[in-house]
Amino acid sequence: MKEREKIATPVIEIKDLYKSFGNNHVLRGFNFVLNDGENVAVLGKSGSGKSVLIKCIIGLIRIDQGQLNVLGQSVPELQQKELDIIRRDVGFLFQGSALYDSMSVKENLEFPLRRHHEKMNGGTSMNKRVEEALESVGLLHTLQLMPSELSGGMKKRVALARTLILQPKIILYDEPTGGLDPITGREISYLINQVQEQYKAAAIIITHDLVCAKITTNRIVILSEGKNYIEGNYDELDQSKDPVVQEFFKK
Amino acid sequence: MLKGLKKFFITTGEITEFSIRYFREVLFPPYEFHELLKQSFLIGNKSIALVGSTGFIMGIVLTLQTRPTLVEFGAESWMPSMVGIAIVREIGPVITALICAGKVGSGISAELASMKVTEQIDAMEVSGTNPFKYLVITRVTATTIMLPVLVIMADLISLGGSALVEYVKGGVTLQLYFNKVFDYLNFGDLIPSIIKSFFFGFAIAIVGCYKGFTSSKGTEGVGRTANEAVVISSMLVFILDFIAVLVSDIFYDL
Repeated sequence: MKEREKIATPVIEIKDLYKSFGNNHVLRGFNFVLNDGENVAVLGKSGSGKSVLIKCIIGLIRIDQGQLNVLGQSVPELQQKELDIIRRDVGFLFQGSALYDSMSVKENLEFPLRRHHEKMNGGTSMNKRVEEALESVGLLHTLQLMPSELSGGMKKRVALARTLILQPKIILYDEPTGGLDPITGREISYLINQVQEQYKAAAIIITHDLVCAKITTNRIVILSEGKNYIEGNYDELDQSKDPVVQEFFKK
Repeated sequence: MLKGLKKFFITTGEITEFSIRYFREVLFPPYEFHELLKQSFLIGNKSIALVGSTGFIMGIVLTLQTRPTLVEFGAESWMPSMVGIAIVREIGPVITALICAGKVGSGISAELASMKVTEQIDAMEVSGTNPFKYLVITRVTATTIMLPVLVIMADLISLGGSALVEYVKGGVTLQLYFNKVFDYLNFGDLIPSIIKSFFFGFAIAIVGCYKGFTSSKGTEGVGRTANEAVVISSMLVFILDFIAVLVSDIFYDL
């Protein structure tokens, strides 16, 4: 597990977050703080609201009630333009990679850059930024390939490169190892660890994969019944006698 | 029955709302010119073969089927004007629109629905792009512009097919045929036909985009939305055509 110096500057603050879909009350008073440079895994059963949580953070889903601050700004109160500005600093790795099928790998990576010209500072050309991002995930040779020509693991890597290209301050990972075999999953976990070190971004990693959580995070939060049930580091939770925690950690 | 009626009104309301959003957003930046050009190329260029061959066959069939009746009355010299008016006023726009409803409308809805299922639309939004502007406005505008172009092309090819039959069966030269066609055609035939083609294009694309954007139930929903888009937009083509004929009658006294 990574031991990174903790700087207690909160980049995400969530207080009493509520979100329902009809009668399905997904989040019921969720509280959470993510500090700068910190990597936190959120574990929970399927349908427990993990993905909903990070989609609320990025503003893809509107919250019903509560406080949700990202980089010091209250997300529910932001107008579309202000939300877009925040999104420059928050990367999102989707569960299914979400690469644009009609675009090549290069065009996929250029897409966010074209939207945010102001991030193209320092005279670095777009091509160079694309190459750097692809190099950091070890897939420079795929530049001209289409997403359909990539394997599942390669798609995840390219999606990670696309997430990194704007050099975000926070990265939200939605099941980064989901749908991958254990070996590729472990490779992706180490890669996440490596890029988190390289880009110094804070991260929330939504996962079922304990190996991924162990490799990539400083802290683990268990989401149960819409609330943060318990949190701690991997070893603490692994030794916990709590039955809910044991459900996740039992070998 | 009541449930179906309710669904019909909800869908109609939502498509109207979707169309209003289009007009609200189309005029304001950012403008996605590159994507608009790409979509115009895809929608126009990739439909040329299908629309062209259908138009050619349409012209041949219409002439072959009508010829014996006109010959019986000794009125075969009316063939070019009759076929010309039928194709330009009605058959060309409606058949081209129906082909595009099948090809373009279903393509758009399936593409957007699969983008939604695979979270590509969310990814676009997260990267600071307005997916409505990038995906909907470009496709609707491109189809609205390209459909009249395809209709004009289909009309010409269709008349070419008809002229070929007249040349083979009646020894009418191409020049004589087209002279007769253009003698009888006037702006009252052409303008309403072009104007209604814009509406057909808009209706096909807005329905395709709406169905794609609101698709649910995963990959199963992709096929279903494509199918629904074709059914709704084909129906809309006939309704719009009916309205267009009524309105044209007022202005041009058909």
